Amino acid sequence: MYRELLKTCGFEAAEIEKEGARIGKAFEIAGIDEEDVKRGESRVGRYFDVELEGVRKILGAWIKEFTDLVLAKEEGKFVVYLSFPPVPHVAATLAVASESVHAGPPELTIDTVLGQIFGKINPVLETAEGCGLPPGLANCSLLQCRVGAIERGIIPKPDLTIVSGFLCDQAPKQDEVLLHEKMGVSVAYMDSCVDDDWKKWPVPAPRRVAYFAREIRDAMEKFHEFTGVQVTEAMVEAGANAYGALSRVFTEINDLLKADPIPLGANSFGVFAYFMRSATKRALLEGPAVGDALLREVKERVREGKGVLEKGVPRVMFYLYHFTDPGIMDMIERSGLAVVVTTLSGVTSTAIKSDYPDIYERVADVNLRRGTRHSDLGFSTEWAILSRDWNVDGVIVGYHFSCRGAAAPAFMTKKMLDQAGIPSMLLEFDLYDTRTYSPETMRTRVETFAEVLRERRKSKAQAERHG
Amino acid sequence: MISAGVDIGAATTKAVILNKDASAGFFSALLETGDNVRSAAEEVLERSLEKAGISRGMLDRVFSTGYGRRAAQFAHKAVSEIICHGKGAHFLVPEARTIIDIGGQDSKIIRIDDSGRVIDFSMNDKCAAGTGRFLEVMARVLKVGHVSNMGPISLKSTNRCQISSTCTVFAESEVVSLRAEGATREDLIAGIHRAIASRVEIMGKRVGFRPKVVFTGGVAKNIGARKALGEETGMEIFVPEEPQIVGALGAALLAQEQDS
Repeated sequence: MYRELLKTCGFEAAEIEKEGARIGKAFEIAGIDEEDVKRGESRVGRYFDVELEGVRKILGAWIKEFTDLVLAKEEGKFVVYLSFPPVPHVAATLAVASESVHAGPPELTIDTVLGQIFGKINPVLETAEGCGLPPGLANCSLLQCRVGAIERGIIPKPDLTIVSGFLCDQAPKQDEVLLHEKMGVSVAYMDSCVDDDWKKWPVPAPRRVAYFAREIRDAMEKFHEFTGVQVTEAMVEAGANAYGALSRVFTEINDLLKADPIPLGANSFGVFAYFMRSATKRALLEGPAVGDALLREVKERVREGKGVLEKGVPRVMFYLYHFTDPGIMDMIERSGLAVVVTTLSGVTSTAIKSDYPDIYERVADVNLRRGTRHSDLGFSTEWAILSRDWNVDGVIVGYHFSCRGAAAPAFMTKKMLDQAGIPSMLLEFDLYDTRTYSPETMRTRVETFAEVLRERRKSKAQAERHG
Repeated sequence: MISAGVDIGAATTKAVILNKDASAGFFSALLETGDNVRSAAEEVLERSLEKAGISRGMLDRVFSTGYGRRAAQFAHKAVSEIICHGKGAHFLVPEARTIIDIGGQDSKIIRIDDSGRVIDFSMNDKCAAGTGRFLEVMARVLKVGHVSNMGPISLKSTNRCQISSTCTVFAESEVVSLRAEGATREDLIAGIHRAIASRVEIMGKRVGFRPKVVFTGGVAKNIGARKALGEETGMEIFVPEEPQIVGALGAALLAQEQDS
């Protein structure tokens, strides 16, 4: 029943033969039925640029990743879950450390496959609501996603979770109370609080670097205790290099989005960016090849002057976008706005070099320089700078009202944009939840914003003509 | 050039017919949207054409707006109601710089420049509190007949009640409870108007109120809501003669501009 979907997602016939049974089993466990598959086919065709082989292959790689995750325990893997946003170097280290480990942030996989492709994430969230994570009260849908999927038996109960509270202090609480106390899962805390001196962004205080490096070492030691796999510095280096290779492809594609007309839609770029950030074994193995395929195709479009929107349309940044509903991004693009920068693009850790002599300290330093882990001001400033560097006409600020880490910085960012004279608009939702907004009312906001930006462009062009 | 604007809102559907010389006046019609959005749009357009004494074939261009704007298959273009309210309010009141639009299912604060172009806006589309629907529910709870009766009743208030709930459903319980405690209908309705005004004022803080402030949408006809808004914002509130047709007028004006 899912053969057509798999073909649309870049699977070759031989690959369907080889992987079909595993995928079928994973879909069955996840409760994906015929109606879901039909919906998936329709959503993939509507929201993703499946004309491009690279996009098809990324969607396919996500389906394989989902299958790996769902069947991990059954296939004898030691399962480690990491928090989102992940510390990619740690995920990458675990990915290269052992063949028998499945490590990664499961939320990304559930969101991409059950959410973006099948539009079926709400039952998972509803299950979590019955397990001590009611909506609101800072129990965001991302946290609900992990607990709900375990409770429904879609993903396995992990052997170990490595949780960090840099951005979200609720995530460690959830893992401690629900995963550890209720489900008996072992938890390693790779923690810190976002308390750097705002004025010193992006440089983190040496004490924080030292502390975070020690926390990563301790988490790796705990991993050793459980798996018997000793994480060596060479493995950390190899993980960082593998992630770096993927990041370089990502950065090249990202830079091509500066072309006018924009050569790739934000949903399609988003699934690749998400894949890179997950830094799972499959992402490190397949990511560079699918990324290269996408890069070739995007370069070709730029060369031909081909775009997904007309040349000259307003260009916007969508800061903190809705991860699960590609319909929102689609609506924005259909209203004539090119989304050139999103939450997952722009800033990459490959651009950051660290001089610390110790490998763990280098990983800590590079990660703490990201605004989300440095300070609230860093979080906001990073995006305000991006909007300037990309010379965007306006910014859509996603107000993730249940996200403890992002809600306040969203307003700080908006204030900075106002001061810089960059038009911005808030869209309210919760990052994985499609039940908290009405698409039609959102359309009114988006279309109005698009019109305001078009008028501004026109006035600017007129003013330039008249000197 | 004869244009039409059709504003298909959640509660009412409005149409305006405009000749090239817009300043010479316009013809309008209004009816309840009901459950068939498409036929409401057709019917309101026919009624406005009848008033103008012209046939559909004489229309050069039609723009639609409002939540049901995509349902108007006869329209050449669908435009967001925020843009249309800006345009319409500027035409009626050239000095307008801020528009408060409270319609059936949402409320908006719109900032415009001296040519009627929208420069910023803020919108409540999360819940019914602060909308016309909220007033309709309260009119039913307080048994005042049509919602339009609420304005004059509220002006007789001597000890306005404080309505603390920001949700229509919970506010209904609060009103019932206050009524049981002996609060008068006048004081309750004045409190309800103040609750709406307070929500609008909070929303407007983000974009800022600049004079002249024009109040549009069905709720603008409510003298009590208008008074409460003036008190809450500290601004003089101007209400056009027909506040409900401002969006449709804006759509008709934009249709004229498209042609020029």
